[in-house]
Amino acid sequence: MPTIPFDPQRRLIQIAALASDGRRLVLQMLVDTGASMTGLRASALLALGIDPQTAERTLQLNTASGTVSVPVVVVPNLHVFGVSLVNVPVLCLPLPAAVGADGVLGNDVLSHFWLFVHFRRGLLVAEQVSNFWRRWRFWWQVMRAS
Amino acid sequence: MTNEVLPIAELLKPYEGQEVFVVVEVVQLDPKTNEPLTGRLIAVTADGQEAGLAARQVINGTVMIRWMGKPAEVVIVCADHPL
Repeated sequence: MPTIPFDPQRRLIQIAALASDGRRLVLQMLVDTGASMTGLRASALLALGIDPQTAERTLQLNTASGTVSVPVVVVPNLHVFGVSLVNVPVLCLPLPAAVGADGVLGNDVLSHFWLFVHFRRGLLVAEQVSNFWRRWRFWWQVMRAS
Repeated sequence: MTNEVLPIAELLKPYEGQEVFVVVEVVQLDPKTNEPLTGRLIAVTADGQEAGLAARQVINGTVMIRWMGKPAEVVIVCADHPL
């Protein structure tokens, strides 16, 4: 699924996460190249059966509005742009409800992909960084999207 | 809560603009875009954690949680973590 439509006003991309019991959660995520790690809000983690309060690790977050300490948990499976990533460390983000997203896709996940974003058309082309064939397919999709 | 399967847009419409989380069991996904097409209402709550717990009622299915209020501007997050 290399070309993904998104709402350019809200800048949200759809991905999926799988809980260890097989339950699937559809997530609306912000693509945030300024974030080094991917994060989900507590409601999404709870829906996946992950209690952020039981996290063994915390991390200091530097945000535009200050520094906070947040739990780091492991999501068993994130399905992003047609690729399954297993055991992904994810931050529990204190996102205000009004942000409207379930979380942010940070560079730890985005770095697995070549990305091209066409804001005016609301299209994102994503291809897993891999062999020549995928690279070729990526550029082909970019040309079609432009 | 009704257990009727309805198009997602129809399910969410009554809550548009309200400051609530709507939890929906997704019955049908668009095979191309993974966009939820139809679903069943599970819960409506103003509390995010409650919404997360309500989503756990769905066993072996697909679920989504949507915030229906007016979207705010977004905060950039930079974690202090070496890649």
